[in-house]
Amino acid sequence: MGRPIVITSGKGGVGKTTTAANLGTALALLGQKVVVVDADIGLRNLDVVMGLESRVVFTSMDVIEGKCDLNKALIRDKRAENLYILAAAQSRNKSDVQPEQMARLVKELEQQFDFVLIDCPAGIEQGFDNAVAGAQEAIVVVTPEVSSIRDADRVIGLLQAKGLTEPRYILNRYSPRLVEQGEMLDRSDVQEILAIPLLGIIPEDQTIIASTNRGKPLVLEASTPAGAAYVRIARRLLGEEIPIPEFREETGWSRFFRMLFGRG
Amino acid sequence: MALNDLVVRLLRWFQGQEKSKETAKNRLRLILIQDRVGVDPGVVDSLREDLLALLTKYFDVNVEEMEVEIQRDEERTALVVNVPILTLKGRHPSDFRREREGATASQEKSEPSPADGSPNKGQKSRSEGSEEKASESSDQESPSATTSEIPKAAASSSAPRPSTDSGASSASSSSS
Ligand SMILES: Nc1ncnc2c1ncn2[C@@H]1O[C@H](COP(=O)(O)OP(=O)(O)O)[C@@H](O)[C@H]1O
Ligand SMILES: [Mg+2]
Repeated sequence: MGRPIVITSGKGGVGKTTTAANLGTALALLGQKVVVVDADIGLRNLDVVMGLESRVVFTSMDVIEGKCDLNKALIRDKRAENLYILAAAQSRNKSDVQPEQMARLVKELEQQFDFVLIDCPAGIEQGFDNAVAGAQEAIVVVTPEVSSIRDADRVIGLLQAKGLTEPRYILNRYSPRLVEQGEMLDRSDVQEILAIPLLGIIPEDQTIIASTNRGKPLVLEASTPAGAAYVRIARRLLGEEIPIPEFREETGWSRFFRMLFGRG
Repeated sequence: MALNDLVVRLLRWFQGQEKSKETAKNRLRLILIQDRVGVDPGVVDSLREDLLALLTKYFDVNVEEMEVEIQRDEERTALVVNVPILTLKGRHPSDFRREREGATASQEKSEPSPADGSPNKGQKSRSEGSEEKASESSDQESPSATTSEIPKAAASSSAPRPSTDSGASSASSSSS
């Protein structure tokens, strides 16, 4: 039986899709059988972030409506063994799916996969209910900003009410430089407020933009601070005890050497 | 980069500004308290207005720094109101009583008084819209001259009675 995990946040644009793509890929590279499900019906973009948009023929909607077989709708990502995605319908609405249908779909996926990562849409309405319906665990993505933390707090309350196992959070777009200047909430500030376990910290990393331009998740590229952080999070999900490092601003020279020699 | 940081720090030092992280933390604390208690911020806003309307009858308060918030800890939820007072209106309670009776007796004379008005009508400076501009500027220059402020404040925030009006003008002339 696989682990269905919803990746959610409340607020949009904080890195849910980036996280789903990178964690899914990292887990697959670590030997897990993974499917990443885009639950953002009407605004799908997981396929684009992963560079698989040209391969989408069927979507989860087709499966739910019985128009095609689950296995036919799964898109295999050839860059890692045992990595698949299930795209969302683009020309439909979130209200076209009911939570029970989504839960049934996820149940079916659990039979075949070690991990079912569900990329949740922004908001706390029907799309959220659908994405959470089949999940047993939750990862809340949050950035060190007032609005993001506020929304995360709200979502954590909703998740707890739905009876999932205690959600954990990923602190994304962490900028050591701003933290040092006192212009960004630091990890202990956020921890104090959210008061749930921290799964990992992803530093602000401009190479994420290039990676989405190419449709190639960071963890597949030469190692970058954010890519390495995603791999650590994947290992933690597998139960390894890996401490969360203190992030420091990368100097020009260390960046130079990393780009010269860094891989894996 | 290091130079950048230095400039940022210097600028902040010159401006005497708090680090934005501290501001963020404080704002979040308040926002989450309201969110978690489930009190609609609109309720707190209108409570604030009502309180202000009441308080300005008795005190000259600092509207900008007035804080109304709902705080929660493990055991209890409390309404905490912090109202900096600029000046007491400095009159005996019986004055208010008499005044109220007087006001009902002479309705036709009353002009819109700040105490009745909503606090959102730009009443940041205490006697905005009153004709006593001279006295206002003089009391800003000498905020310690409380004796001159008391009658003035009384004049600007209660039903206009000939005796208080004259009191105010005499006070403002004595303070300048
Ligand atoms: N750690 C990061 N550093 C820099 N940019 C990031 C980081 N994480 C996400 N982004 C950028 O933020 C934007 C929103 O990310 P996305 O994953 O689409 O958010 P969501 O799915 O929550 O709406 C994207 O442009 C992405 O490249
Ligand atoms: Mg998204």
